[in-house]
Amino acid sequence: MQEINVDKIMEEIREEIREKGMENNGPEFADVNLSEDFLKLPEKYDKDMMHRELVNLNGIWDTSLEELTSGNPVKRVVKKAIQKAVRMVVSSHVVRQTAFNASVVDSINMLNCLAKENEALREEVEGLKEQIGQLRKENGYENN
Amino acid sequence: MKIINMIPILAFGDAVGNDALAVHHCLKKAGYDSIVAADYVDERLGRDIAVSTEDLSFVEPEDIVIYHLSTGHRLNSRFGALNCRKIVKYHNITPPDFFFGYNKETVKACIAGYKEAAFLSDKPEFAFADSSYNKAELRKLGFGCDIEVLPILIPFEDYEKEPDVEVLKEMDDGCTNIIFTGRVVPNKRQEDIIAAFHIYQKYYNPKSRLILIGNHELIPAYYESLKEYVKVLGTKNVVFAGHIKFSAILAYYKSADLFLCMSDHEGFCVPLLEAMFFDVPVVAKDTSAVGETLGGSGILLPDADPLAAAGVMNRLLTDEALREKVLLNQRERLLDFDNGRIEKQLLARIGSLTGSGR
Repeated sequence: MQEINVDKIMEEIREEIREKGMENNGPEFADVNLSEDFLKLPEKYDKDMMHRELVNLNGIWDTSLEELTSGNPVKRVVKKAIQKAVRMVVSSHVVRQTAFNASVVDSINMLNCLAKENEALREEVEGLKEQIGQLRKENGYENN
Repeated sequence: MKIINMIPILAFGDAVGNDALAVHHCLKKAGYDSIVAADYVDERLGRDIAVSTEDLSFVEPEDIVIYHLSTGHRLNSRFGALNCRKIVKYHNITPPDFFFGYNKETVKACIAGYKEAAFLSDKPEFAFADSSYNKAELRKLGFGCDIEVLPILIPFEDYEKEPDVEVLKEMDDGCTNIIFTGRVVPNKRQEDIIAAFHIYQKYYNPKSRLILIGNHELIPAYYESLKEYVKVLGTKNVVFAGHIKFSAILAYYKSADLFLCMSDHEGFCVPLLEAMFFDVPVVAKDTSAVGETLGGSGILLPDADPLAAAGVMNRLLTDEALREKVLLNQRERLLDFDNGRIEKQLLARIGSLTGSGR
C-alpha cells in the first residue's frame, strides 16, 4: 500500500479552514427533521418523573386475575364460569407475566435507590471540591 | 443432501439477497444440489428463483441450510427449529436506535432481529460473517460455534455490462460528480453527505453535483427531511436517483469523480468495493465495518465534520499525486475481494463440513 499521511492532510485542511474563515453556520438537519417524538429516549435524569413512574409501577404491576365479589348474582355465576374457562388457558401465562412484572419493578426500585445514592455522592464530591478550592486559596496555591 | 440458501426477503438489488444468490450459484457450479428458499421474492427476480418457505417440509435432516441473517423475521425462529444441519451467514442487524422517531415497524423488526439472533446462537454448527465487525457482533449475541469471516461475493463481471447511455450523457456536462450508493435510511446518514457536499459546493466548487443512489421509499419521513434539508441549505444539483436499473447505476459510477460515505453503521458496505472497481476515489467516515472493508485504502474521516470532509474531497479532486496514490491502494485492496478467492474459501469450508472435498 502507498503511504498516505491522513493526519497531515487533515491538519493542513484545518489550517486552510482557519485561514479562509470557512464556517459551517447553515441550518442543522435537526431543524428540519420530520421524525416524531415516539421512542425518543430522554437524555437527562428527571427525579420527579422517576418518582411518578415508580408510584405508578408499584401500584399496577400485579396482573393476577381477580375474583369477582360483587354484582348481580346471576351475572356473577356466568362471569365466574367464563373466568374459570379462561383461567385454564391463560393462568400459567398470567403467573409468569406477574412474576416478570414484580422482578422488573423491584429492579427499577433498586435503580432508583442507586440513583439517590449517586446523587448523594455527587453532592458530597461537590462539597469536597469546594473545600479543596478553599484550602488551596488559603495556602496560596493558584486557582487552576 | 441439498444445500439450501435460506433468506427471509429476497429483495431486488439488495446486497444480502445478491450474496445469497451468489453463494447458491457458486455451490451449484461446484456440483452441489443447491437451491434458494425465501419467504418473499421480489417479482423482478422472477418466480422460479427461489422455493417458498411457507411450507418447510422440503428440508430434510441430511440437508444443510445456510441462513442469511440480517433482520427480524418470523422465518428466523422457524429456521432455528428445523431438523437439519445449520449454518448462519450473518450480515448484521441495524441497531433499532437509528429508526427511533421514523418508523415503528422498522424499530420492532430490528429489536426482534436481535432477540431472534440471540435465540439462534446455539443452533448452528458453524457461522460465516461478512466481516470481523460482524463476527464480533455474533460473539456478543452468544454464538459459540466456529465463525469464519467470509466477505460478500460480488459478481464483478456484471459491472462490465453496458452502462445507460442517457445517464452518461446527462452526467457529462463538466460538473464534478460526487456519489453515494445505499438505501436512504437514517443509519447511512445521507444528511451528513449533504452537509459536506454543501460546504464543498459553497467554498470549493460551485460546478458540482451530488447523486444519492438508492431506494428512498423505505423511510418516507427521513427522505422528506433530507429533501427539506437540501431546500433550506440552498444546495444546488442534489439528485435523489432512487432505486434505479442496473445500467443506470453503472453509468453513475462511470461518471463519478468521488464516492463519499458518511454512514454510521455498515456490516460490510458493498458500494465501497463498487466504487473501487470503477476507480472512483473513496472518502468515508471511519465507523463500524467501513475501515475494515477499505483495509487501508481510500481516505478515512475521523468524524462527520462537514468542513473537514469538504476539504478532503477538494484535496482528493485537485491533488493528482494524492488521487493516484489512493487509487493504487484501492486497486490493491480490491484484489482481496476477488470472487475466485472467496468462492475457493467458501467451497473449502463447505467441503470440510460435508466431507466432500469439492
